[in-house]
Amino acid sequence: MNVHRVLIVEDDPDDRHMIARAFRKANVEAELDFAEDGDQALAYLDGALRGEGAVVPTVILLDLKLPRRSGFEVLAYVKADGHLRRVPVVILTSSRESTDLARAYDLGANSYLVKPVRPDALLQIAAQVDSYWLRLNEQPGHPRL
Amino acid sequence: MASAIALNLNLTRLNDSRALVSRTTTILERTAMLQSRIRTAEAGQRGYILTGERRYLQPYLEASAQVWPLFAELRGLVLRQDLSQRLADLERPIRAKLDELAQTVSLRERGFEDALSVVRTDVGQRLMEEIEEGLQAFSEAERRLLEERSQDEARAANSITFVVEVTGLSALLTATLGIVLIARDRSRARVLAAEQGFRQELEQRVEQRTAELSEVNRELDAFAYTISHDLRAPLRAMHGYADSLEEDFGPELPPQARGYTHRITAAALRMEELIEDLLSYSRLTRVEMTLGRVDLEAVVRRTLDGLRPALDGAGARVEVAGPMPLVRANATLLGQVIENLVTNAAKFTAPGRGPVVRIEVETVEDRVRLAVRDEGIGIEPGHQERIFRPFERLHGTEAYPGTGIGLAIVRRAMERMEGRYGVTSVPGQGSRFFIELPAYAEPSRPGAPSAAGGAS
Repeated sequence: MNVHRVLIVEDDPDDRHMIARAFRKANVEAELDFAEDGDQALAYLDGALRGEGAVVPTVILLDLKLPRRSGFEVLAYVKADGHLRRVPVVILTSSRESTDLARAYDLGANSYLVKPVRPDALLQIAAQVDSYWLRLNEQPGHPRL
Repeated sequence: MASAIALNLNLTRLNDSRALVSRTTTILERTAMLQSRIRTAEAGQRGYILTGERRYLQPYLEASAQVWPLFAELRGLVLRQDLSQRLADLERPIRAKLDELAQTVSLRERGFEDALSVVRTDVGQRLMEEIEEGLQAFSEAERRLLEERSQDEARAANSITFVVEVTGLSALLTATLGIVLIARDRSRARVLAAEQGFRQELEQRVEQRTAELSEVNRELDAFAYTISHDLRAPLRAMHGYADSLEEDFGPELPPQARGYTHRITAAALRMEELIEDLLSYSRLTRVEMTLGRVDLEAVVRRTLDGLRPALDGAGARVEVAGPMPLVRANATLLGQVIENLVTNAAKFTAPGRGPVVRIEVETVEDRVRLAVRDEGIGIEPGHQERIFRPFERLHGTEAYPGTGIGLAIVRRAMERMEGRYGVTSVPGQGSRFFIELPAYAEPSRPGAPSAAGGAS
């Protein structure tokens, strides 16, 4: 069985650290790849599609507020691509704004989670992303897998 | 000789009726000026309240200083008893209006919100309407009088034309008189036009300023939104690293150090709560909201059901009285308002006393008033206005937890729902918070006669 890959698009180094820690503490069996902004995320996904190094992830955790290319732009790009659109995108953001929620789902987000301040709540999120998106959920085979 | 006497009589009649016409014209002109001064005073006051710029005070001060001299002059000019009474009746609303303007201007010196809270009571608006209507009715009555008098004058002038043929001198006299009167009327018209122009310009400026300020408000709200999200990131880091420190190095840490990490996490959580409240407060102005038919009873029931665990936990007794009519509101906002009022009523109790909360509803004419009473610690009169401002607290968080946003949300929500709010309280005995909303009126069915339907 192929090991799961999770692409985490997150610009804040502390958040990246905390998310990684939460996944580790929740014993999630997955490789975590990080993109620090929207451009890096798109470069990663393009590379994965062309089979250059990176592999298409099982799920993408996407922050909305990113420097230069926003999370919405990354989301729109992923959902407009014939291959990438099947990859579930889980929004993980500070924003609970109804406009952000609506826009994310309009663009095809598969799930929307609000980043908690409490580390134990973040641990819960890591555990549930694992049990739902990495275990329970069925999805079509990855391109180039 | 006979014609000379007739001419003289007719000229006297003409002069009498011209004097009356001229008096009425003066009255109309002074009335228009009075109306304009009051409007200018209000425009200046609004400009000052909105901007805090003292240059707006100048038109306010000048115009309001001229109100009473004009009013006194008018009273001296009006001869007819019924019209004199109409005018006398206007003294009270004008006085009240000027008082309101003076009060808000002096409150503005303390701050924008203080003055705005008075403006928002609508008292000034209603007074202005009363004054405008009164002056309008008065002018119309005077104008009718003017028409009657002009007809008299025309009749007098007709007889003169008849006699004038007799003597050229009288023709010259009449012509001169006529020219003088016409010239005076023209200069009055110019003054009135200038008044009108000035007032329109001021109103335009106030409107423009209002538009600019709402834009600034929107930007500020957008700013609050962005900043709140950005503030959360370091907060997560604070909490996260404090937790990590304890998890990874806990056994090596002395108890005092572990105490410190707990304080860091507690502070982070409290700040998170503040940010969340700030966001929900700013959301209140940004989110689109519709007003419609809301079943007050259902909202109260739903809110109390939601609060049940917390209320039971506090040992609170809640009594609900009165039939509850339909109101015009937004159900979500109204639910939030009632929740905040009930939560407060159950929270601010004297130590050792179980909270008692009473919800009462009464309908007065087309307004529905819901009051939430408690037997808690009460609020000093000097603080009763302050508590409706965001993040205002009267007690330490150890005695009564919370961020101080609840009543500010009540206030903003009631303002958005075109309702009113307030509090009466006796320290040590309890408080009574109330909100007031318009009763819901069924829209008239199509086909049914309506006030606006007649003319087409």
